[in-house]
Amino acid sequence: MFIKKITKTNKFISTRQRRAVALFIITGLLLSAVFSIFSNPIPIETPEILLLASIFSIINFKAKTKITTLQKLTVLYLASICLNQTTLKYFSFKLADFEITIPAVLLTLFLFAIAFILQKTKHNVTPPEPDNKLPTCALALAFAIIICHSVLLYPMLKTFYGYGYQYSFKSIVNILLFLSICCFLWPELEKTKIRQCLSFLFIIYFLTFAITKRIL
Amino acid sequence: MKNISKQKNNFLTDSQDSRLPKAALMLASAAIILSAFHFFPYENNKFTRMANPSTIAIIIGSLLLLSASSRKTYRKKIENLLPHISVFAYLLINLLSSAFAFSFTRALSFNAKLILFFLAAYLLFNLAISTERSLKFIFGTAITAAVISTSACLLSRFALNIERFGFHQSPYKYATYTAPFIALSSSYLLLKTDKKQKLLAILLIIAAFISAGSIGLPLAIIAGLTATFILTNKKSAKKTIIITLTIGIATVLLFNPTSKSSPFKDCSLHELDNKNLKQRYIEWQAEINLLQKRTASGSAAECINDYRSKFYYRLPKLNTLKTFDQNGWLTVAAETGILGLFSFCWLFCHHFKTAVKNIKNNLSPKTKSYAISCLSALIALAIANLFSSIQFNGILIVFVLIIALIKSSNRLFNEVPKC
Repeated sequence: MFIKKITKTNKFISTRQRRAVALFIITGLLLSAVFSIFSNPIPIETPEILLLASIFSIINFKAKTKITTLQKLTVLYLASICLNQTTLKYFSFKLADFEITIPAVLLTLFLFAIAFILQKTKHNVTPPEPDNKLPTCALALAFAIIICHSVLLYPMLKTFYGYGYQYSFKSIVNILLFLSICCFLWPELEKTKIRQCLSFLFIIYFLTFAITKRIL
Repeated sequence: MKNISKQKNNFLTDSQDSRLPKAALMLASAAIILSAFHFFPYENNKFTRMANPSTIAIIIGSLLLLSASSRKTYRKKIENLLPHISVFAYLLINLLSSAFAFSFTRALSFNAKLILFFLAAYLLFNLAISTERSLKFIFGTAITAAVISTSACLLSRFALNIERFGFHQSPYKYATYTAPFIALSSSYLLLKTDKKQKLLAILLIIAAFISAGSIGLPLAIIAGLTATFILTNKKSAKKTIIITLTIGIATVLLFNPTSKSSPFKDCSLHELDNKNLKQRYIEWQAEINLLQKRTASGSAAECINDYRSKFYYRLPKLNTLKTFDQNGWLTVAAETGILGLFSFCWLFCHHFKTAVKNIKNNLSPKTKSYAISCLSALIALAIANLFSSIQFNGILIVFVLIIALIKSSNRLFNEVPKC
């Protein structure tokens, strides 16, 4: 009787937390989609490709392994594209005498981070299968490649010109930001409903781009 | 008439199960050997650059695979030979990045090339390597391609005095093509007990060092052979590697400083005016700068040239960059964004892990030599990719061959690891 009660409470917490996680992720992406639709600093030449990709990721295929991973990667890519449109947008506000500027993408990242933490503390968590794990070795290698090149180029540019290397730091920060988004979003994309929900959001998002590009 | 159609169908009947791998082996070896001739003699023609003999052999192979896959029994076999998910991930990101391309046709043709090689050529090579004997045969064709490429380069540079690199016009393309093949074949031959084979390996390494026109070739060979040196237990092979590499480095210093393109000149940090940093490194920085704005989108597959110059900012544009002098790693990042680089690294990491697992699991020295040489070639490929892209036309076949060799030797001798 006592055990039954505990599992019931755990299930209840788990469902609530699951909903909260989904809510944080969807709100995060929705916010960045709204920001980017008005700014659009990176022009999308053929938005139809991304629209087709979002349709591909909304379909629930029977065969799981390989296609699911590709769908997850597609959603991750589309989310990154959506967030990339907001990387150059900043919020600035005055606090006492200081003017504080925060990149818009940090807000989304913050929401994703909360979702990730909530998901980690969730009860009855089953460990992901090895096939569905994010290949962290590849993430680390990708980051190491950029870092190593930047470190190598820094003394060269400093000796010859004394400038030119400062952009590397900004690129590294942005890359770190996107890699952390990968880490936060990947485990959540395992859930079909979240993936489909995000895909639906992207269908509307890229459809807007396609219409504005071709018709207006 | 009926008899003819029966004969045609007989090609893929179950009773003649070995015909398909045999045909695949023939086409695969033809593609490997023909790749050594690059686009010769029609290298200035756009059409023949795409439809060179090596690619045609792969296209014929893909048609053969398509016709075979119409049968259920073959379809299952072919499905089992499909590449790892990381390959599909890389193809998918490349395809999606086309959405940002100014020139959509260029991005599309690049994607078609990637699909042809990463799927059709990969399947063809894997189907061809069905037994240890056929694996040995493919290693033989790789050695032949290395011999053709280096000897043609030596002939053109030192006998005919032409400023070209055998069948390759660019020293960078020559380096990226030859380095993995030299690492693969010399490691394989050095781990053999036969003295003639060892002598061939030594000659190949020295010939590659002498013929090198860029720093990428000697560096990639050194990296590849260092891996062989660490992984092998054979003392004689270790000694030969040290001696051959020393001779090779000495020949680079002795032979090359007089010629226009030499590894010696290629590794200098400054331009000829002694005031500016070499354009190659400014280009690298421009590609990193591009990632600040286009972190996820990149410039689209094969479209780096449309955007790169915009990201120089205050750095000088000297227009002294030689054709095909490109950092493959940074180009992937700049073209397909950080997720493109991630999937490319995933592809590399998975095959690296598989190659390491092959070495660990292979107890027999004969099969271990295949595994070590594959890993050595993969390392050489990673280093060569720093100085020219391994995805260029005519070079991609080497990359696909090496990952197919790793995967098929894993299939023949072990089980597939999960990454």
